[in-house]
Amino acid sequence: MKKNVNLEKKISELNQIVEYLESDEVTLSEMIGKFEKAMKLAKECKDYLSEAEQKIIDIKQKHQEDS
Amino acid sequence: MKTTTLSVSQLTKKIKIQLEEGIGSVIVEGEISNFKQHSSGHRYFSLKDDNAQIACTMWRSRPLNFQASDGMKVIARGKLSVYPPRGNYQIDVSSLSPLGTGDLFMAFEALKNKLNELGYFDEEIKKPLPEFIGKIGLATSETGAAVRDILSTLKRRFPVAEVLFRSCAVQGSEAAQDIVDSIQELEKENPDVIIIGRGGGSMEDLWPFNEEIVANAIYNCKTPIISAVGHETDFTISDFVADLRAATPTAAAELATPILIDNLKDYLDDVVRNLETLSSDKINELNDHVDNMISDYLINRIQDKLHFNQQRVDEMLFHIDSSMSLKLKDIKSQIDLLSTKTESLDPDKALKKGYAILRSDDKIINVNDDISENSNIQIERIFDISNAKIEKVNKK
Repeated sequence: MKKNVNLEKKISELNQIVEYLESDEVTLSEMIGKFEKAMKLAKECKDYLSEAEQKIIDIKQKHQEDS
Repeated sequence: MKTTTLSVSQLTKKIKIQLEEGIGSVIVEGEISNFKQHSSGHRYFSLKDDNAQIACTMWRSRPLNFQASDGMKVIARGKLSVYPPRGNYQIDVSSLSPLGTGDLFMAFEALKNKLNELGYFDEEIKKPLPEFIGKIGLATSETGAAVRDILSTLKRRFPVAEVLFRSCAVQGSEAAQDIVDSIQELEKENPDVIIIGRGGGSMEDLWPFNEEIVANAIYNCKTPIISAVGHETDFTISDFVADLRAATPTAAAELATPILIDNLKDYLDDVVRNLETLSSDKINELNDHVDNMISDYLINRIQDKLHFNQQRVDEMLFHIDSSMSLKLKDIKSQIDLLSTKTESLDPDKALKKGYAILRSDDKIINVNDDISENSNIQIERIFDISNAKIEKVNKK
């Protein structure tokens, strides 16, 4: 099974970076660094989404194994 | 088996162990008879069928949310217990649920009113779904259309969500407790939302979702719960207590997937495009800024330099002008002087004065030339030229 990519965190971070880059406070050198990070995040999310498959966990089984 | 002589207490003790531990918990279907509720609040009745009956006690602490009456067919859950002082056995009933539809309606209304008054259905306490749903708990039967519809809808809309599936009974006397266990087990996994439900059926079929223990489990659950029981027109207590009600299992899956994966992909595409534009915009902006700075600055400096040099040239020209003037004057004076001198040197001037030019053989006789006696000379004066012969020369 694929490892948990925590999509929500990445999207949230990506959103933050984009908002920051859209603001007037960003300097050019910061921009370059953050841009790279944002592109990396976007790519990771897109890759994860393309490979998406439904992951179904049987809780009953899990609890039976635990108990 | 050895037969020894026992006391009554000893025998009763054996019977007690046999019944209470050997059988213990029971679920019994039967008809109520001789139902009495004492002033103490405890209820005493018998459960019977055609061939047997058994005494039941239901302590006042046990919930009983419908009007139990003689003749009512019920399902009782409880434990066998033996009461030695009177030498009888009974069921210590923990819960009672009615079996016939009319009774069911009454029970439904009674519980609904009770829970409504307790605030179980209040809008304020309903928990909103989180914005991003990544983990979905699911409690339903593993057979039937409901689970298939839910899973296929979840997969179609948002296959990146993790689905925790706890299959459970959704009808029958075991179902209510199984549903309660499912909710509690799923809650431990910290999902973002839990879906409970089942497909359509009769009121008896749906009854587990009207049980008080299920209502309590939903009420106490910290995770938001979507209830999808039966068809559009079926309403159960679960639907009222839950944080959201879905008319169908598919609708429940749709509620649990507010973000569609396609939209997410579009959003990410937009973000990437936006990033690229932002970067190039920023770079262009800075470029322009730099260009402007350079052009303004340079233009000013060049102008300054130009002015400066122009001024220098002007000054030099002015200097040249004035010195040339002086020089010219100077030269002019010299020329004038020379002119005057030259004029004064004109032989014609001497001739006019009366002086003569002497020539010998057409050659001018210069001041240091000797004149020989008896030579022929020419004498040029202003108005005439004479020929003469030299008689005598006396050196001075």
